[in-house]
Order: sequence, then structure tokens, then C-alpha cells
Amino acid sequence: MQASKDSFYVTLRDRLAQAYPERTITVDGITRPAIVVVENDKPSVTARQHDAFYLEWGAARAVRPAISTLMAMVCTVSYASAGTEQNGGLDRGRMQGTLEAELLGLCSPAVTKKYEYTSGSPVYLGSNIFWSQPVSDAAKAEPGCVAREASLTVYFYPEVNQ
Amino acid sequence: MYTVSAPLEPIAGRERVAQRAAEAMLRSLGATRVTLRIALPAIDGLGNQLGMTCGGFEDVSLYPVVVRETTMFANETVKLEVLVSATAASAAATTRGVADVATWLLEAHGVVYRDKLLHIDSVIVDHFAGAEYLYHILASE
Repeated sequence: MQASKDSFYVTLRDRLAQAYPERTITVDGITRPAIVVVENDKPSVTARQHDAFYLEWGAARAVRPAISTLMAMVCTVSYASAGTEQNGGLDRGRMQGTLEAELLGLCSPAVTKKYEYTSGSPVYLGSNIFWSQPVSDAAKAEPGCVAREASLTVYFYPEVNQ
Repeated sequence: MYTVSAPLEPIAGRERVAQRAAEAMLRSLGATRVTLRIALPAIDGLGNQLGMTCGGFEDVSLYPVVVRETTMFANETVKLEVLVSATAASAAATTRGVADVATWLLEAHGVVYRDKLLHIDSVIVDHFAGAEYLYHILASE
């Protein structure tokens, strides 16, 4: 399961860095693509940056337990935008739309190879993971920004030693 | 009638009054020392983003502080309120290049108290004359 989560994140991160290299965040002085897995972030950090994608893993289940080992796991992607200063934040909805379009682009094609990253260098595990199209919730107006969550389901075959 | 030639302005440096008073209060209440465990900046790399490695931790000693246990019952998890003077916290933060002391405290890995690492739940900041003079760190098991 961990390899699937890692492969999904790395795929989206690499696509983001390639397609939208200006979409970055700075954490502790280090600039990186603006996509974060919440469970891999420092536990003491609760504040989220605007104009960045935050991935959270949800429920996992067997898709058809009787006939297949295929698993499905929900991934929620949260993002918020406060707009730009020169427009006084009035364009926060438009910035939100840009983030949505970028997310749709990152999720396509909806398949990637599954790698094991624990050893340091990625090791191909011989199977793919694939996922559904993201489905967005209604945008929520929060103080100074507009936020949205999109959910998708990642499908994978569990490895024997996971 | 007495008139002033120029409008009265706040006394320069009056924000220091509250900072010194807070420090004096903490010392008179039997100041102690606590350890703040902070996460060092992450090493850039995939391992960090995947939650496999971290930059390590540094223990920062804060003095003077007053620790108040807010636990009500013996079987309850330990809850603490640590009062830290702005002077002590600012000195520790500025040597590490930190400007926003409250956020630095809030994002610390925890407070070490009686060999237990307690999670920092919130930080309350007291202000006077536009300056911070006391931090309340609320921590729990």
C-alpha cells in the first residue's frame, strides 16, 4: 500500500514540476513543487499554504474480494487560493479555477508504474496503479480565501510483503 | 490655561516595561527551565517528502519559564501551560534566524517535561504597546 501511495505522489509531483514549474512552495527555506502529502509532513505544522495541493489518504477497501485482490483507496486533494495582492484577492475564484485545471492535468493520464521507494532508489514492482477522475466538492469561502477538496480513488494490487 | 506646544506622544521604549515585568514575575514565581525540541530544516530530497527521513532535532533550553500543570485528575493525560518570557524566547529564536517567535514555538516538535515529550497544542501571545511580552505554550501528552 505504501508503494502505491508513494508512486501516486511522486507521479503528480513530477508532472507538476514539469508542466507548471512556477507552482512551488517554500518550506524551511527549501523550494519544492507545491504538492504535499499531509501524513508525510511535520506533525507540528498545521497551517497550509495557499496555491498548493495537499494530499490526504482515506479509506482503503478490496474492490471485489471474492474474485480479485484489487484494492481501492480514496485520496483527497485540498487546495485554497487567496488570489493576488494586486487584485485585492478578488481573483481568488479565478486562481482556484487555475488550480482545478492544473489538478485535472496532473491526474491525466490516470495510470503510472508502481515503485518501491523505501530503499532510497526506486525499484519497479512490476505492476501499475491507476485512478479515477477527481470529483470536486463545492468551493468553500474561508477567511481571505476560497478552498476546495477533490476526491479520487486510486486502484492498485497490494504487494505480498506490504 | 496650560497648553502644550506639541502633542503628547507615547513614551519611547514603553513596550519594554511589560517585557521586564513579565520576566521579573517569572523569576519571582520560581523560574525553571524547559526544553523545547525543534525540528531542524528538512534536507531537500524525495526521502523527506515521502516521510522517510527528517533533518533531525535540536533541543533548545528556555529560561526563565514557569510551568503550570492543568491536569485535573490523576488518570488524566498530562496538560501543561508553560509561561515563557518574550526575552528568553526571542533570544533563542533570533539566534536561529527566526523572526516570528510565536509560529516558531507553535511549530516546534514539542516540549520535553520530566523526560516526556509533550505535543504543543497552541500558543497564546500577550502584547503590550505593540510588542510581545509573554508566551503561553499549551502542551499535552
